[in-house]
Amino acid sequence: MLALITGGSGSGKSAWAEGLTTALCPGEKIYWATMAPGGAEADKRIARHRSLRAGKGFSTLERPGIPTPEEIPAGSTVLLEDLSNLLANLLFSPEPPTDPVSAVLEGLNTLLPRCGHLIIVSNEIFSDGRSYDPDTTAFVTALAALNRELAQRADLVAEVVCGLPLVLKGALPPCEIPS
Amino acid sequence: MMLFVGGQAQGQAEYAAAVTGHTPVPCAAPEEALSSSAIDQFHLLCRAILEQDGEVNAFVDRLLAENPGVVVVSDEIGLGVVPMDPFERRWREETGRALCRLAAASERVERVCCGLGVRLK
Repeated sequence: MLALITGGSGSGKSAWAEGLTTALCPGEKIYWATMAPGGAEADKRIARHRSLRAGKGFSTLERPGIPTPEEIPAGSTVLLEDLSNLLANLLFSPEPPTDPVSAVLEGLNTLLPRCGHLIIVSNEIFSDGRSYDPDTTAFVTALAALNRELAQRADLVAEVVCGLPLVLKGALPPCEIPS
Repeated sequence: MMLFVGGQAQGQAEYAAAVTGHTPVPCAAPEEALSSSAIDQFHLLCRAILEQDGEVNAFVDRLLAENPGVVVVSDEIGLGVVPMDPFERRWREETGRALCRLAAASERVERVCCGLGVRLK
């Protein structure tokens, strides 16, 4: 299954996505962490996410960019946390790709055949009515494009609100999703 | 009347075109909107009206009376922190209230996220 999970800041999307991933694959699975450590806030955020997923069978793959397919054992269940960070890492790198949306999509395409399930956590940042500087606008627009493209391909799309899934496409797996 | 809303760049115009068969087009002035079959970027039209010291509420009165079959596409803009700037505040509030009135008059209202519509009405 390809799943796209979106939601606002503090919506509970990460915890819910971890529960979904665990429901789909109770055994060993991969947590693809995109946030590069650095600074007290990032370290605190990383520590919080580590404690959230402790004991759930995740092995952590820390990659700010796209891993090589060889790093994903065939048939693995992978939780990508998260898409906006992956995009930002590419977009704001010293040598950004000319088309970051295509770069991310092509990268994910190389990994998809290796994944039994790929669960992608994204962000809802599109409804505040604000105008931003050109760099931030490019980021917001690119993330929206990625969300739309991935939603087209996904089997399941859900927006998480207060920790509860609002299913936009597909159906939740029939098993119970642990919280 | 039909209304399609969503965050910035969520694909609501394309979605509305697929559902209604009318391609939404942005309107620079209220008069254009009164004869349009499908209005895109309704939130920016509200902003333009306010920038010219017009009344959004009066415009909505005319739209409901003179173009009751129109398809309206808008961004949702009210889900951020309320801005300090009075004009920015007024734009969000008046756009939101206008969308409520249009939704009340619409036979179909959808919210689009990631290009996917959820029917609210």
